[in-house]
Amino acid sequence: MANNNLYNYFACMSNNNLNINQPVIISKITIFLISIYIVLFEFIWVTQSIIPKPSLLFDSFISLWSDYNLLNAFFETTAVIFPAILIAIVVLEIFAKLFLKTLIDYSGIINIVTPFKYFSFFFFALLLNFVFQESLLAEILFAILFVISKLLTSVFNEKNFAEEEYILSAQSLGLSKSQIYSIVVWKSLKPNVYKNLTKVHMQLWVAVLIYEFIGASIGMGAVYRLAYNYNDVLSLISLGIFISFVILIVNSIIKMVVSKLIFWK
Amino acid sequence: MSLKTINIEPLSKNYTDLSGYTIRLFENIYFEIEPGKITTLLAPKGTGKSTILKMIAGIDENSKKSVGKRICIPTKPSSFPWLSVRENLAFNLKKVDDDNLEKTIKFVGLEGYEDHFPNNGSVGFRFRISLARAIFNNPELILIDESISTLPLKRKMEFYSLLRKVTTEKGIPIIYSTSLVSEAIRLSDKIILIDQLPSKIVSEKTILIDEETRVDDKIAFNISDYFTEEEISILSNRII
Repeated sequence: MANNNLYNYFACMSNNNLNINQPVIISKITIFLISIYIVLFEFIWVTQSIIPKPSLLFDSFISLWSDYNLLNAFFETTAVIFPAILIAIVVLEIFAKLFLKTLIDYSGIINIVTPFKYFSFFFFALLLNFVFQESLLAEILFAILFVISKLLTSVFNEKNFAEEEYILSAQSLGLSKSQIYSIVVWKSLKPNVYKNLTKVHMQLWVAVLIYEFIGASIGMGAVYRLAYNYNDVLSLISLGIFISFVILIVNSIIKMVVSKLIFWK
Repeated sequence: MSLKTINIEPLSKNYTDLSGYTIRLFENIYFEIEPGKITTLLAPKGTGKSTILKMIAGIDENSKKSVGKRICIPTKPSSFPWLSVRENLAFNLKKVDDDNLEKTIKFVGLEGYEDHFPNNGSVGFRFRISLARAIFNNPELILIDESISTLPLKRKMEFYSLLRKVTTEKGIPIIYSTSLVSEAIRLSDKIILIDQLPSKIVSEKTILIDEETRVDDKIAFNISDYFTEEEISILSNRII
């Protein structure tokens, strides 16, 4: 059994609490605060003009669907976000072995990638918008690269890649170096990589909205841009609340799916 | 069943720290493994027992020489948490004899847990899976690195009994490493006493105790019945 110094590459992984099984719930305190907001600003303190009345927000939310064609914009944006997440995951799963091999065999590559960390995604959104104007495909590509880079960053950020014991056992059972990458190391890393998926999903919404805001032609970012141009503060707020609910619901689904598929720690 | 004696060829290792200072970790460690016996490496912590085991198993960073099928169970039992008990046993095997798999699962006391995952299991549960996987791979030698040393005494007795069964019934020799004298006496057919630094073999002891006495937690063993005063004086300050 010829072995290289594999173990040196993979030392113990930090044992963070993953909390991937913890469901997202609207806490009692949130419901309480919403109730206070409704009672206070709808019925008691009606004369103030800083905080919008709940009924006005509701009206503006309804008008978003008719005046701003929110349904269409919603489908355009989600047609970018959800496929991008799925495609990024598929790419990551397929090329995980290659990513890890490159990362471990050529650890210096991290130094090459590091400067790009400081390039804001805003720059890339601007660039892609500039080059591929109004292109949904370019937006999807932007979103896919965003998700892959965020998930890979979580791999980079792992101090170590896998439990020493897993590596030793795998070596002892006669696994090749390549099998150790694809089976043992990747499987060990998966819980820590995918625990960030909800965070990545949330960040992706921000990134895509900014992308669309710059392009001002498709998706909910364009609706934001329109409402901004019209100085329609109520629509901006109700759109923000709507998006946060969508993120909340999708994050709950992501957490549930991740906890079912990646049940180990 | 492995019936041939395995000769562990002389093992030596140096360690160079970051400042370039080299120390001899251990030198000229060699011994024989008799078929169907448990050989224990008894040594204080920090003596390099784990490294010796890795070198014997051929999985040390500098191991280039091909060794026979030797399965190492590390300190933290390493059953893969993403695989069920059954899948752990069949891991990396091209052909799986289902009948033998069921028998092995039963042998280590995991009957009824075939589809359970080791993820949230106890150390003992995970050790049983690692041991079952090792046995199922039909090795010439199993190496165990203090995996059960941290368990409570009652639980340890169960595992001593199980490991004794592996050697007597399956005929697979075991090398176990520990820093606990009582564990070494209860478990071993042969104890290899190692001193530090550089670590070297001080003596080899053959332990002849009947199987029932070994796993009787009411019986305490007197160290002086097994080790000379000189050995005790060398090691009493270093081994618990």
